[in-house]
Amino acid sequence: MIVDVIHPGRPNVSHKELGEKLAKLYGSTEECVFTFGFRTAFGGGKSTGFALIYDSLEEAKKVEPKYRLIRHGIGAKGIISSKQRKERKNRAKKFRGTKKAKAATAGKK
Amino acid sequence: MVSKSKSSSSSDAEKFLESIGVSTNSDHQDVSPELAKAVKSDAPLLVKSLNSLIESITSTKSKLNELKERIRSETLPTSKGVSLLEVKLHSLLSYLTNLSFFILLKLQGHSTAAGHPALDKLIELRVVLEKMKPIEAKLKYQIDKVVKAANEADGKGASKGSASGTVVGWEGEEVERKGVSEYELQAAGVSDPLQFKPNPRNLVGAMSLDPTAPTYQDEPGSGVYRPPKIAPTKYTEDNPKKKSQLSQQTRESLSKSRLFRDMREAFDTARPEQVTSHGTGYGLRELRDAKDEELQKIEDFELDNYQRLGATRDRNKREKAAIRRSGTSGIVDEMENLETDFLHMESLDRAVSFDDKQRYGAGLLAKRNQRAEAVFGEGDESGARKRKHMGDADEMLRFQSKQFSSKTGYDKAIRKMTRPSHKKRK
Repeated sequence: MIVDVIHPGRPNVSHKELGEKLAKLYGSTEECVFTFGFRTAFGGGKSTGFALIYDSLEEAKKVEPKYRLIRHGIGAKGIISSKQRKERKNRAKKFRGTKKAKAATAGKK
Repeated sequence: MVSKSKSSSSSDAEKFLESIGVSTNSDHQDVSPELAKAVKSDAPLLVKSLNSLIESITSTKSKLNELKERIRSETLPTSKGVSLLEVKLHSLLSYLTNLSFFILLKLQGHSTAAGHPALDKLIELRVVLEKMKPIEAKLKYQIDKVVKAANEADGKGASKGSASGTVVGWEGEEVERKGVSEYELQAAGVSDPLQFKPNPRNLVGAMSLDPTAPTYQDEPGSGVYRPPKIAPTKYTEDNPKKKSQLSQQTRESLSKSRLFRDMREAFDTARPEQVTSHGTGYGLRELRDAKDEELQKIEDFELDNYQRLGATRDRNKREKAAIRRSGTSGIVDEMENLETDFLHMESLDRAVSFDDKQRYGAGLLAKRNQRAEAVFGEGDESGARKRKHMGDADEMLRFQSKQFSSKTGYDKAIRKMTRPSHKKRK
């Protein structure tokens, strides 16, 4: 659904707060409500975005893209810093196949 | 061969088919219903083609008789060896005979398997004809010329029965012209049939054909010289590269800048101020330009597809170009453009000082004149003082750009900075 939020005097509303409000409105739990794409209109006071409400968390996990699940707290991000990623890759270069995964994590220590 | 029925209705077709022993009823035991149906459908077409065949045969027969007479009277020399045209003639004839034999075989129901000698002969002749085609194409000009000469000569009054036609063998052999003089041929516009080199006189020229067509000069005494149109050339209005400090582009971009627009507003009181109602919501129709439309489209897409579109490199480029073209966009950050505004002010400052110099003179004299004007106001212009009155800021700029020479490094630097940004060399 498209959600128009009117918040005069406030910068904008957080995802969590929006989730709570929507859950109450539509009789769901806030863990099944996913919000994204909010843009505040020029001048402030109003923002427009999208929200999706699922029947259960299991279904949400199946459908939603990874980044939205991470925002919700499900799943974790991998290594973010590029230097660490490159080091990991270079460690894994020495091996072939499944041993790569072992080497990538083991070599750190 | 068969009854010459001019109409090709289906009843005739049936009659014809029965006459050659093919039954169209499906009652007959030997004939399968599909076959009968196919035969029935093709029958009118067959009749039509047979009729045309008969007609063409009769016409060729008459022509052949004529040709036979000619050969018998020995007016066509065939003693000098086999020429291309003769080969073609004979191969076509034998192709015809073989083809007719082939058709006969088909009609009578004999098998026409691949190894049949008639078929072999047909294929061979076909190959020969195909190989002759390119050679014919090369000779086309010569043959056409000769045929044309023959036709013209025929029409010019030589007797029809006599051999007024010319025969050209392979590689241009003896030409026989009985009863046709060289003069007649030239009058026919062919000149010498043996001359196969390109003839420029045959080209249709504007001068020779149409005496009323306009020549290079209108009249001998008109005095208007019209140069001959040989090749298209570019037309340039003025001298292309004037060494002016402010080029046309710079001037345009300067005139569009916010600073000058503000100044124009303040000083050019004769001009009424123009403000667009775009975005205000007033007016008969809400004004929407291309940018508005684009934004609306993006908005619609986003809401329909539940996804936000980010700014792409392509869109950013277009936006920047539009801003540069328009001079200012709707909402402009003043601080951003302060630097360029000050640079623009340089040229304006110089223009003002130049005008002052013109108006008041230089140095101490200028001060005195300025004070005098302040006290006594604008008197009438004395003839001695050359005062140049400018209409508005634009004119002032234009004047100073014409007069001002920029030889110093400072001037060059300023010029570089006031150039449009995409030409900047970093």
